[in-house]
Amino acid sequence: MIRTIDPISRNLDTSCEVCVIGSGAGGAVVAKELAEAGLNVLVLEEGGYYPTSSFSHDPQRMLPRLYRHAGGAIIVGNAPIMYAEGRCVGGSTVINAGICYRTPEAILDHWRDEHGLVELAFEKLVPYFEQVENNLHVMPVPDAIMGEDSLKFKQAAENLRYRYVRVQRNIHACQGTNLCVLGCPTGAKQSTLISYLPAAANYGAQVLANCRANRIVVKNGRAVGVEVSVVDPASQQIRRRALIKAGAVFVCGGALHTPALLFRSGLAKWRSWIGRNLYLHPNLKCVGIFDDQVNSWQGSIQGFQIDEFAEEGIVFGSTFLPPGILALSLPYFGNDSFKLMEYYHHMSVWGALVEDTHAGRVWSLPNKTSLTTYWVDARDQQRFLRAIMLLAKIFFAAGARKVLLPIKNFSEIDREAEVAQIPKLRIRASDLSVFTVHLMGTCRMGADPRTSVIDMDHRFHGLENLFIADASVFPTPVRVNPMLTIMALATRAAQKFVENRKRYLRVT
Amino acid sequence: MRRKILSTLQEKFLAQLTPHIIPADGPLVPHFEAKIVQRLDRFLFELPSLLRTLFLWGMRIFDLTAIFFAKPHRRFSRLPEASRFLYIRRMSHTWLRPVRDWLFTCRGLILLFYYSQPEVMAALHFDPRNWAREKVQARRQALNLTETVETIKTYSE
Repeated sequence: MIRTIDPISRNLDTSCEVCVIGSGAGGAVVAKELAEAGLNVLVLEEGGYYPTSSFSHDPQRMLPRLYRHAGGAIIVGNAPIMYAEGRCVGGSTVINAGICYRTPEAILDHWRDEHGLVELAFEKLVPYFEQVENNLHVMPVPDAIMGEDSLKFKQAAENLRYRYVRVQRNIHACQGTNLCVLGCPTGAKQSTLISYLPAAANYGAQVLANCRANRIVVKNGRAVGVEVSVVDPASQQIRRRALIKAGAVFVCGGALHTPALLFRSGLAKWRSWIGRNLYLHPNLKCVGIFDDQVNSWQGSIQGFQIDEFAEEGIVFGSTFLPPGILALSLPYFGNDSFKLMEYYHHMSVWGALVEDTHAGRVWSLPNKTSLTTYWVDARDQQRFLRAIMLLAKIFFAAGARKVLLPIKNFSEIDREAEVAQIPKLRIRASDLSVFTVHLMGTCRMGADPRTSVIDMDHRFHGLENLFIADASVFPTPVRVNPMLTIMALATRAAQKFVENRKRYLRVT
Repeated sequence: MRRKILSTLQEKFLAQLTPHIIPADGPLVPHFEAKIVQRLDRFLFELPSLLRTLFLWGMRIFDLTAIFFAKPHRRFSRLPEASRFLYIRRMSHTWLRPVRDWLFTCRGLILLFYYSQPEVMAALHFDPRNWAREKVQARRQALNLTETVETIKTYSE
């Protein structure tokens, strides 16, 4: 069951066997697996509880409800990067596209060779991938909901003879409403809000919404509880504070908030790698304007991906942005903006997901807050430009008559020949509009405690009963949408916990 | 009730800026300036305090730099309408990056709210409300559901 602020304003001081912080791809899976094994589980979620019936097409209404900082979150650096992250029951799974890919074997081989993660070999993870895929109803996007923009994208790939794949998504009877980023109003997308959390609740787990974890209390080398604040969803003011006693704690707050919580808990002195190694999968979007109507709001948010350049660390896919968000990302205002936006039904937004090589960092600030920084280095910038050039080429191969680029002062091209000018421009990182939704790697897993934060069982090095199960555990970017990797690793972490529960829940 | 972030003067400033950002030839949205001030206040409320402070300082700097970059040399809030428009155009290409970044952030937010208005979306041939309603209905019929519900029960005593 989900508890919101009113019932708990009287007495929140409680205890549980396992306290799970976060209800997204990591936390919900851990909660379900542990509750199924008979453990008393309490899930803390900072955001509010918004059921499917409350989801609307209106970004003004949904952004403040479902997104952290109403969707205006920024990473500081030479190119300020906007990021989107869910802050609601279900976390980012409520607002993502629901794309599910298994971790590429090459990445897992790299983790084994460079980080000593021998337990994460592909064949050993297959049962966990299968389990998650079954629970989430993962399937290739069917033809019936393939939108015109996806078909154009596929046509372009065929014209250019690029390798492409049909996207796998966690959908059940999807109608192609294409409002995934504002919360699926039909309930077809199997976010944790409608898949794992109800299952966890059926096994007896409790979810506390509007409940922010302030600090993990550590005594004698063990996590003994979590200090929390109950937040009023309307005023965001703290209503009350409490201590939740727990036999073990799973932190699943995501790559920015997990290290921030560990900093606040005074654990940075234990492991110097907390907060380092932040990867973003930077995302660059181009807009194509076609002569015929595309109506990109109709159909699946993404139908195909071009993975021809995956070895270079670049993957392409189509996406959809509501008009407000699209106008925000274009460099125009006044009548210039409307002249362009009048062609909204002729527009298609396609993006490049780039595997970054240079890591950012989450810093602890003195006032118990944190700051995230990320500097785009020359190598990654070259990769961004290559991605933009390829994306423009794909648009023209699909028949676009104009392409809008995410580059300041060079934002429109009408002919493919103009693409060749891009390398000649003196472009700085700050001239590029970069966005991200995949934040990874700030509490990386590794065999060596000197260069990592958690061990192969997801246990914090040096603490008996503190675990991390979210995207922060990745040693490197995963090159594909990370949801399935997070969920498979969380399943494995929870099952390992259950196998050793007597040891981890030992009362000292 | 949440506390207000913008002062009366700041609200007035944003109401003066808004008509130069939204398209004059676009569909009219009744009382848009008042709506945008409310929405921006809500947005700023959601921001972490550091970013919120930066935004409010950016607003003050944008207002004051008009003394140096606009003609007549006055603050933005005291400029004639035509000069305001020219000043905004100029600042969108300025080498003063904090001012330019603030303008682009504010512009983005105003346009986000403008293009999310039903009147404007209708002018763009985008009707997500009916579209979503049809699809919710279609899925219910396909799965013989009476309503779209989660199996999570909300807590009640």
